[in-house]
Amino acid sequence: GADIVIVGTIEPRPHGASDIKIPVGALSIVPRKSPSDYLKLAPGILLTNEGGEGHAEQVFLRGFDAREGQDIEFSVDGVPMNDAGNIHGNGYTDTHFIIPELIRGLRVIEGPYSPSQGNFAVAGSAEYELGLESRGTTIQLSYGSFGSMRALALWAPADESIGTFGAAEAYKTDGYGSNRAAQKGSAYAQYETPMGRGLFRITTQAYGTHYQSAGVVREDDYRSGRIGFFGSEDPNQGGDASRVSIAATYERATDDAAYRSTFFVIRRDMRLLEDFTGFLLDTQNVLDTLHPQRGDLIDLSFQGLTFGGSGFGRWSTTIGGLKQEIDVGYFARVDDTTSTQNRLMSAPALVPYRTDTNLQSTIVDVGLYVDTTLRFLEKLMLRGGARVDAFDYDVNNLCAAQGDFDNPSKLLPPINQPCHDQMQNGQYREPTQRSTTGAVKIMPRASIIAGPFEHVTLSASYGLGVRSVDPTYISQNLDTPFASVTSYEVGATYAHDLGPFALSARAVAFDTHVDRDLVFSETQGRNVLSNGTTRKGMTFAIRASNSFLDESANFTFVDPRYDDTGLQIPYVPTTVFRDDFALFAVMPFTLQERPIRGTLGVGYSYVGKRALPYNQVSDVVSVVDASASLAWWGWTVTLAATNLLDTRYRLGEYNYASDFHSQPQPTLVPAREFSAGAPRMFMLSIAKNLGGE
Amino acid sequence: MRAALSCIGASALALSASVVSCANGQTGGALVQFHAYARGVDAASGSLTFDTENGFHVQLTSAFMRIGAVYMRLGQTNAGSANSSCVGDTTYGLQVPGGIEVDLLSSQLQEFSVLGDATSDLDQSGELWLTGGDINASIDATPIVQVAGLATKGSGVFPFLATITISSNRLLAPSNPAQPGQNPICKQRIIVPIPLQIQPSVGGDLALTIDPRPWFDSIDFGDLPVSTDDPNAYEIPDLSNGSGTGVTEGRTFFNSVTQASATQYRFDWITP
Repeated sequence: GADIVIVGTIEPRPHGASDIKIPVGALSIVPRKSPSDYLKLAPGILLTNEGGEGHAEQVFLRGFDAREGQDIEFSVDGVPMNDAGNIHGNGYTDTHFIIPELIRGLRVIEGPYSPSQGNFAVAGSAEYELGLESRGTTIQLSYGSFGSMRALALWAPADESIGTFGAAEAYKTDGYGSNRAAQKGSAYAQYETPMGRGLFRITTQAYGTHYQSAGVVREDDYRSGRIGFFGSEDPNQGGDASRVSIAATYERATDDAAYRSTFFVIRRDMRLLEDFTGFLLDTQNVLDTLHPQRGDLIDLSFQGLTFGGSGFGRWSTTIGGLKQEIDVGYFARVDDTTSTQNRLMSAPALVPYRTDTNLQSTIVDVGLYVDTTLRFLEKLMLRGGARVDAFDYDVNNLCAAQGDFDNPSKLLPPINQPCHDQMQNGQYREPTQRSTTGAVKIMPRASIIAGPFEHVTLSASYGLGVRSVDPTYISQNLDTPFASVTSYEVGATYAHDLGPFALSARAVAFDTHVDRDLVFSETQGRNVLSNGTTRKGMTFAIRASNSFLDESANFTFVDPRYDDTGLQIPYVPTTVFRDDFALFAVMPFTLQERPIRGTLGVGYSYVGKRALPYNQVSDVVSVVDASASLAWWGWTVTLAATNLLDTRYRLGEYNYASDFHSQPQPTLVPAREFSAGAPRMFMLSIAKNLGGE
Repeated sequence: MRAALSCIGASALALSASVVSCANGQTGGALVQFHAYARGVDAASGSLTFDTENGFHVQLTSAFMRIGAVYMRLGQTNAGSANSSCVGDTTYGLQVPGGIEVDLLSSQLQEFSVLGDATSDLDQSGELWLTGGDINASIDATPIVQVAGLATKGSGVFPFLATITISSNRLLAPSNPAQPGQNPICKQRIIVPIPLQIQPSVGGDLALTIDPRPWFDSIDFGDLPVSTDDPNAYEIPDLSNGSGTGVTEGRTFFNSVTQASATQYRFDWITP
């Protein structure tokens, strides 16, 4: 056959026990509903989603409610995924544009311990690595529960590297229960080729989705039979999203030096309709004509255009017979964004009656870092350095003057105007107001790494991280437009080939403090600043693999608390267990003298009771996923089941005030709401590979 | 090395055990579901006899009040707030989101049509919503208060009756046409802020005691017109605006009923 060209990329240096490189490998057989699901291969991850199939997952990591990405720096092959300036949540990350079959692995750093980690790396960072090991052309058709259908095409020339591929998918579903239909299309193309003495890679992708969302259900509405478990309080929820990007990377490595530079342009659009509170928040302003409660359906939109680049250079030398290294890196990103949030009248009108927010923002983040590896002894090194990020905000608020004021003009009364052009005593003002600010943050990060001693490596790490502030909080010359995190950990890792199987394990104890945390406000439909918080905990992980099985399991315990009251942070899981298991082998029988390869995958998630406001606790989450496949002569048949045991569970549980007219008069006191976990779903896939091995 | 690793392993287990034991801590407070009741004063036993501040001797023979809902807020509410919104942006700690028609001449507990919900936080401001349906409806013919009785002063004898509705008859025009939202009708339907100190707890219930006697302190029964429904009785007009006989008494009576007084509307948290 044709020669296969394998070109490696520069490997990052691990920064302690929480810097985890996760090859997906055989565990790709375990059913995963979205690219974010692959994060569960790292310890302590819980994903929830009350926003629908096109909405980003809410990620919980090591005691952090990272919402949809605010506290985790996400990237794919060096291209950032977090939306800077997204009004739904600064740092919002939608991973659905990634076609899951392209995910080769992830690098997850739990904690801000590497100088290469930038903005949003408060709980940690996750970088997806893409590639297609199965070469040739593959077409796959899938059909499953609730009218789910998927078509996938993969193109990977046999004589090119795994970094050269094309992929496209189209998907639709009617969704389970009420208001969960979705459609999406995604395409990815990447070309990788040696260039001179290095490697050049260009990547482009396009993605679009339209989806409906059930949102949350009040527990008392469910108990009374008014709304079903999989029902919806407001069927007008849902959204759209799109992403187009192009990126180019050049990297080159020699014996004592390595270089990489990546440049990217990203266009993101998002629209979200969500209703957490029903008919609660429409206040009567004095300057408005009399009206009843018109409804709390939020219509939020975000458009962002991002230009940027990142890269580093690495030099190594020998001192005292020991290899020493230094990385000098940079990161630059400019985001030109528009964020609007309106409130819509309840059906059938569904027209906007109020403007909450209308911002045009330019956000600049320039970072540079130094990351050294200093070996003092053969088995003792200091790895780390410092990072400096300079932030600049230019925020033009197009609706800066809102609400009531005294003595409005009687000649030109500002009746029902969401954005005023006058202020007290009828004095004219522009409706807009611009605020600018900037700041520089220095973040030292270091890890002491000792070992391996009998295959055990010990480490202690320290790091400062940062999360830029939502543009809605920017005021002129605001001193610190970001929240800071300080994190410590000690850990041990074990890695050894025991013969029958390769075994790796890790144990980590950590302590993380954030000076200004972000908590979700159901009334505002987005995250709002709160007081400082601290999280202490431990994680344990193990992975064993050989020629016919791959087993990965992890435990996390964490105690998250507010600094001022000592009370526990609600909604965050304190115990998380995840197991992924895959069996694969060539069957002892053949068909037409051609071998049959079978694969079995099982995934199990357990999340302990989560603290809720008012000393309430959530239900436990315990879900099993499984799949089985047979491959023969380029054909693969796969049957996958998510929630195999059809467990009925509440994926997200909340306590806050909402009024969906379930009682004769408004319900104004905090009550339990939940988002339903998906019921059992099957998906049958048939794929044919042409031209591959 | 093996000893060191064993020590580390044991320490890790001990630390993890302590973290697990602390992990499911408290977030503060509690949620409480309770029965809600309303009643008349202890002296009420089918009728209620009392003397008013302006010298009338009154015997109430019939007194009913329609309450649409009860709410309580954390913290005290400024009665003079310019906020024209009826559902405030403060945190509500207690609700009974359903109604009751209370016989004010019975001291027995009468239960609201729905259970109440509360947090265990201290509530310091109460609200009574006087409505038969939508608090914002411009027209609502639901009788909120219906009373009848006999008032005497000297040789004067005044059989009387009164009905309060809160509809377009109570609507106040905005003082400034540039501020049309100044006086929403919901403001006329809510008795707020009733000062109180209620801290709900699991196992308890809420009791509202209504004392109608102060409603009549400023009523001059001699100024009332003859009732159009009963020519043998005088009637307090169901009006706050306009001119004519008894309109002042009508406005005075309405203002007295809707006064946020802890004497007229007393809340108690009953624990077993």
